[in-house]
Amino acid sequence: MELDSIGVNNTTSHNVRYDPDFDPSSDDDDSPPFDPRNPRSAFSLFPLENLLYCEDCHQIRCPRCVLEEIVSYYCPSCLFEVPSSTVKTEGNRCTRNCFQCPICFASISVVSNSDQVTAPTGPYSLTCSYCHWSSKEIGLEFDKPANLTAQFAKQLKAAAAENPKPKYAEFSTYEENFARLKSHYTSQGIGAAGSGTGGLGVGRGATDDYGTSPGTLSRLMGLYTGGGHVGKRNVSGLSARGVGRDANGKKTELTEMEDVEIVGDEKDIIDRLIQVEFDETTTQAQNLCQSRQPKFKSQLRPIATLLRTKRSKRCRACRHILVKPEPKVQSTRFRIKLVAMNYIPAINISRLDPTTSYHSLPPLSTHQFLLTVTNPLFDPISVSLSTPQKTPGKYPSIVTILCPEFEVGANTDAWDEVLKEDSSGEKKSRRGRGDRDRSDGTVWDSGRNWSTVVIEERDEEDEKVVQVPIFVRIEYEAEVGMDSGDVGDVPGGDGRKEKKEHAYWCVLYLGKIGRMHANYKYLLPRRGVIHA
Amino acid sequence: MPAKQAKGEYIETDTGNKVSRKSIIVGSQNIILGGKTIIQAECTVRGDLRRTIPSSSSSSSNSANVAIAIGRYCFLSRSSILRPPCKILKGQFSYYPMKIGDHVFVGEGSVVEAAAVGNRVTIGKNCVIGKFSIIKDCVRIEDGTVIAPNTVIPTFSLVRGRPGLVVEELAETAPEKLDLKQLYRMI
Repeated sequence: MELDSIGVNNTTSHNVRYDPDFDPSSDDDDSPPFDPRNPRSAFSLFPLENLLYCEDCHQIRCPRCVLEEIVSYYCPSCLFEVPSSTVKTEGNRCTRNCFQCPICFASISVVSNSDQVTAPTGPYSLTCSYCHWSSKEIGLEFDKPANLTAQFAKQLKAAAAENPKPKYAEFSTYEENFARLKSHYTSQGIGAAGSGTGGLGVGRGATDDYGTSPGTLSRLMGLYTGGGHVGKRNVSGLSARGVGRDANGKKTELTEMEDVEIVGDEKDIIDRLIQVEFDETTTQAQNLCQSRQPKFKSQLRPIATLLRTKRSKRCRACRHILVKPEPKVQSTRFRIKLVAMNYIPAINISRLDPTTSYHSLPPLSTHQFLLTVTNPLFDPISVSLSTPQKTPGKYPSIVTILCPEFEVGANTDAWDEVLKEDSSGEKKSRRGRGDRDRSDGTVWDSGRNWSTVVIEERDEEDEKVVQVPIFVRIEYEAEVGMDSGDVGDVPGGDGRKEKKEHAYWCVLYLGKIGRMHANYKYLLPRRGVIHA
Repeated sequence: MPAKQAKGEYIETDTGNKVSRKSIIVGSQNIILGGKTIIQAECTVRGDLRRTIPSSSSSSSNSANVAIAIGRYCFLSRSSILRPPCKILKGQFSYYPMKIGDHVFVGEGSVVEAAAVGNRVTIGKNCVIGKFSIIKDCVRIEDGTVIAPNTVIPTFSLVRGRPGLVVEELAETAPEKLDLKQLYRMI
């Protein structure tokens, strides 16, 4: 079977007509076929490997219909697990020695600046091995090669103390800024209710962080709706003061906030911008990663590495757990892993004629592809595929599945396949090559747990990607009560078989229609005349 | 996917490794192949670049001689290069051993100088994996990525760009998707 990259984009729809209680008799209802070109489709199509499956709801669950819970926090650089209590107090960044380059974001390592080769001593600096940025450039050096975060914080504090005017301080600490804001809000009566603001943003439920008293809320709303300015941090003090006066007719919170905010003097910035080269200013990406959006590269600081999480996932509908990873950082195992791949047949597309290129299919012609359905279940399934006659979109293609209803064998022991392959190798080759008559509605080829049918596509326009929506319905009989993976908690079944059904839309990307030769534009109207 | 090669293209070892006759294997006595590993034509594996200063942990002399250890079901595509990382420590220059896990795919023209590559790692075409980088299990590195030296890539990461950064988390199905048993059967 071909496994070309463009052909295996097997995607399954999120919730468009995917329903376990889908009634086959009402197959031809009024709802239009799934349109992969609809702007909303981008949010409901996922590759099969990204989908989960809820055994209790008997439904596919996409990344949008699960709830996530954090199992553990860890630093992606030093791979140390960080207890959630530390995350709450110290923040969601690595507090050891892990930093990212502020220029290129590669991880940076500590390097000795001394000339001594045999026994390196201080001072040490953080150096990026990708772009060769060094913390020496911003005057940041360390005495010891360990516990850098603490040393960094100490230096920031010292620099802030040297320069008492926080507005123009090159170095000012987060803590001081935070303490200033906190005292400000406490005086405003907001901080009292939301005393736990330290935990904001690190995975706390957004229930009570802003306090519950209506006065607090209205005060906060006043802060944010009064001005309508989003980027207050960069707004100069003047405009903030103006807004404050407009809103309440007197000196209000915004003006006071100006005192606690650290706003670079715009005149200084403009003067410096005139002097420096363009190269010395920060890019947007660099800017956004820093705490107060500096304009110049000399103001960039190393970025402490952001922690990563391991998360478990629950079904949004029934809250049953779908994925539960091992909490250990380096483990790739899962305690619970209910992925759709084990419940939903995989659909693959490959070329019938191996000489055609997926990237430039000959225009105005019929293309044939092989559609393979692979069954992951331990019971044989009967599959019925249906597709709109013309694909949705401005330039439709006519799509025909030559054998829309067929059976796929069970996913039995892998040894069966080996034994079968030996005996039925001849049979398969005969079926694949000898049987040229493909219009008789039979399966093209099949194996232990897979079947292949031919799908035909005829396009009427060139230069577009052919996306075919297919409605897949599978039926199978599973033993009731057997916890074989595909049956839920159905009690009291002794070998009784129960009919099960799945139905969902999926979209196949067949390839791109190539460009016609240059005088195609002249040919096209003539062709239309002939047909008329 | 690579087509079936003409007979005699590969030398097959007892453990099922298939090494192309056109590959450049230097210092083969310092290379361990775990079995069922494929090395395609024009690959360079530098087993001669082994540690020149004794290991501080002073393990057995046997393991000290290993420059490159490769696990099972690995696949080194055409013209890829495996080279143990080197550095100067306390004034002494030395190479350090490279360890590659199971089911590791190295794309065409990629250069790997990592200290450790975990299990089920797929490295795309024309990548550079910098010196002493550590790549953990279940990682996919896209074509053309350049991973800076000393970088650590955690599990379930999708890495892209120059410098290579973790851009996405891989789905839970990544271990199955990154399995290379099927690939071995095709050769």
